[in-house]
Amino acid sequence: MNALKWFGDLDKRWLYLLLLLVVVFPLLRPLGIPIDVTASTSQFIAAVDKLAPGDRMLLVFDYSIGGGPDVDPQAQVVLAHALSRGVRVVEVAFVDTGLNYAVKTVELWESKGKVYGTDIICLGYATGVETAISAFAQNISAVFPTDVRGKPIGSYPIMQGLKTAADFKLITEFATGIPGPAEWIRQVVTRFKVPLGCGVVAVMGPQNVPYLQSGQLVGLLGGGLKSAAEYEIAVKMPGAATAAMDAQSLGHLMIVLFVILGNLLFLVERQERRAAKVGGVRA
Amino acid sequence: MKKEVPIAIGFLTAVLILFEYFFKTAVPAVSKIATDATNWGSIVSAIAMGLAAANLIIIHARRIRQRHPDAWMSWVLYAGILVMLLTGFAKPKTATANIYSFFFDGLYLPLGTAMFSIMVFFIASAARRAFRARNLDAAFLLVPGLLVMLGNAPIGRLISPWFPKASSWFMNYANVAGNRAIMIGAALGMVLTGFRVILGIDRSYFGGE
Amino acid sequence: MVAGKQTTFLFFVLFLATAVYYMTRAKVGKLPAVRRIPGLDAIDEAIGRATELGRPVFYVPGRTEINTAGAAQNIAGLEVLSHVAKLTARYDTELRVAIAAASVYPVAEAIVQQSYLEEGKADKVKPEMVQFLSNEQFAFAAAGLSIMNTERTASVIMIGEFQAESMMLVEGAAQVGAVTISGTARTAQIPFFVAASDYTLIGEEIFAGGAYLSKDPIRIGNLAAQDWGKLVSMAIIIIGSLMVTFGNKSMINWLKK
Repeated sequence: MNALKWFGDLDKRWLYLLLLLVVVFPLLRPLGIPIDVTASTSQFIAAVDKLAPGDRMLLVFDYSIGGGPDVDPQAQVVLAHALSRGVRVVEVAFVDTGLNYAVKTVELWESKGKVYGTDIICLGYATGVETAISAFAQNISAVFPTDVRGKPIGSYPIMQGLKTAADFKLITEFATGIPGPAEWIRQVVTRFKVPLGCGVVAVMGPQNVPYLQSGQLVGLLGGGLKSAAEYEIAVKMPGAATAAMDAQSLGHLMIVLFVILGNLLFLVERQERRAAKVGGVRA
Repeated sequence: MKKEVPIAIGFLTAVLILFEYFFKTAVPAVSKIATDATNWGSIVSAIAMGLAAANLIIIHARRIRQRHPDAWMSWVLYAGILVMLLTGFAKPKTATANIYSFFFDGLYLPLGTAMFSIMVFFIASAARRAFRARNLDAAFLLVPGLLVMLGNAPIGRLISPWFPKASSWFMNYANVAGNRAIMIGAALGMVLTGFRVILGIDRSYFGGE
Repeated sequence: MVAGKQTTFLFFVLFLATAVYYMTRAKVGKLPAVRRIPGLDAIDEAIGRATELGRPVFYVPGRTEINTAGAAQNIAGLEVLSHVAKLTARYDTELRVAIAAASVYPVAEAIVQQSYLEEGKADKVKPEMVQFLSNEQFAFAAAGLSIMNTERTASVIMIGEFQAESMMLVEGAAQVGAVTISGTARTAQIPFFVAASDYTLIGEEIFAGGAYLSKDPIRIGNLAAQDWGKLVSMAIIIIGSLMVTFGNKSMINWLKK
C-alpha cells in the first residue's frame, strides 16, 4: 500500500526519466525480441508483389515531420521493395513537409544507380488537400505540369501514358493525418477503382481497419513503426524500424505498468474513502 | 449583398460539384467546370495562408512595441520567416540552398520529431493520472486498450501468445464495429452541416448568425 | 447517372427530404425532444468557473483547414465558439481562441467580433483574443501549452477536428488545473479525450452542439433527421447482415448499384 502511495506521489519527472532509460537501453544493447508479421502487412506485401516489372506505382508522401519517424520507414521499405521488383515509382506529396522526404528519397535512389525520370520521379507538392487530390486524380498534368526539377513531366519516359490516377497499377499513401486513407478512398478509389495501400501512424491504425475489411484498401500498415518492422522482416530488408522494436516493446510495457499501478492506487484510495465514510457514519 | 453573394457562390459551387459527382456521364462537360471549381478552392486556401501569416506578424509586432518580456522570441520568429523565405527561392545545390537545408534538416526536422516524441511523456503522465477504471464503462475502455498495447508490441507475444490474439480480435471486431458506428453518425452530421451551409441556413463560416 | 451511385443518390435525396421535413416542422414550433448532453451543459459552468477565478477561457475550434473533410467538425466547433464568445462577453471573462488553420482564422475572428457586438461589448474585443498560432501540428501544440501555462487558463474547450496534438493539449490543461471540455468526431482522438478530459462529446454530439446551445429550431430539426438516418443505417446493417448470413447478397448488390 505504501509503495503504491509512494508511486502516486512521485514527481512525474522521475517517471519520465525511468521511461527514457527504459527506451534508450535497448537501442544501445538490442534484445532481439522476435517480430511476427500480421495479416494486414502481408496483404500489403502481396499487393506490391502483384506488380510486374515496368508497372507504375504512385507513392504519396502525406506525412508531417512529427510523424515522420513512425511512417517514413514504412515508405522507404515499400519503395525499396517495389524498386527491387523493377516497378517504376512516381512520387508526389500533398503535405508540404512530405515533399522534403520525397526529394531526399529520390536523391538517395539516384545515388544508388536508379535513373531519374525512368525508374523514379518526384512530381512535387500540390496545396489544397482533398481538392488537390481530386484534381490530381482527374488530370495529373493539370496539377503537376512540371516535376520538382522544373521540367515538363511529358518529357520523362516514366510519365508516358499517365493521364489520370486510373493509369497507376497501385497507389501507396503514407499519412500522419489529413489527407489520409479516407480522402484517397473518397476521391480516387471510389471514382477510379485503383488499388490503394496505406501506411499510417499507429494511432490512426484502428480507424482505417474498416476500410481494409471492406476491400477499399488492399493493404494497411496500421501499426506505425511496428508495421514497418514487419514489412522489413518479411521482405528480408531489415532497417531502422526493426532496430527500434525492442525500445518500443519496453516502452509499451512501461506504460502498461504505469496504468496498472495507477489503477491499483485508485482502488486502494477508493477503499480507504469508503472505509472512512462508514467509520464516520458509525461515529 | 455582403452575405448573399458568398451564399450564392457557395450554393452554386456545391450544386455543381454534387451534380458532377452523380451525373457526369449524362453531361460530360460539367466535369471540366467542376475540376476548375475545385482548383479555385486550392488557390483560395493558398491565399488564406497569407492572411494567417499577416496575423502572426501583426500580433508579434504588437508584442515588440509593448516590450513584452518574451519579445525577443518575436524577433526570432521574424528572422526565421525572413531567412526561410529568402533561401527557399534558391536554386538547388547552391550555397543559399544549403542554408535552407541547414535550417530545415538541422533545426525544423529534429524539433518537429522531438515534439512528437514528447507525446510519450504526456501519455505516461496521463497513464498514471487519468487512465483509471472509475466505473464499468471506463473498465471496458481500459482493459482492451491494455490488451491491444501488449498485443501490438513484439514483447507481448513473449509474455503470452494470447495477447496478440486478443489484440487482433479487438482490432478486427470490437474496434471496427465502434469505428463504423461513429463514422456513420459523423458522416450524417457532416452531410447535414454541409446542407445547411449550402442553403445559407448556417452562416457561421463567414462569421454571421 | 454515374454507375454505382444510384442507391447513394436515393439515400442522399431521402435524407435531405427528411431534414427539410423536420426543419419545416421545427419552424412552426413542433420541436423534437433533445436529450441532455452533459459536455455541452458544462460549457456554461466552465465559463462561470473562469469568471470566478478571473482567469481566461481557452478555446480551440479544431485544427484542420476549412477545405478538408474535417471542415464540418470545425464548423461545429465554430458554432460552439459563437456561444462561448457571447458568454465571455456577457461576463467580461478573458477569452483566448487558438487557430491552427489559416482559412479558419478570419472566420473565427469574425465570429468573436459578431458575438461581442451582439452583447454590446464590441469595444472589449482585443486582437489577442483570436490568434493564429501555427499550422504546424506540434508548433501549435507547444504554443497552446504555452498560453495555458502563462495565462493559467481556468477552462479549456476544444471542439472540432484534432490529431495527435489533442493528447498534449488535454493533458497540458489538466496539469494547469483547468476544466476541460473536448469533442471530436475523429475516432483516433476520441479515446484520448475520453480518458483525459472532464467532459467529452463523442462523434456526432459535436454537430448537435450548435443546435443544443443556440436552441435554434432549424438546427434542432436537423438532429431529428440525423437520428432517422442512423435508424435507417441500423436497419440496413441488421437486415443485410442476416441476409448475407443466410447466403442472400441482394441487399449488398442493391447498395452497390
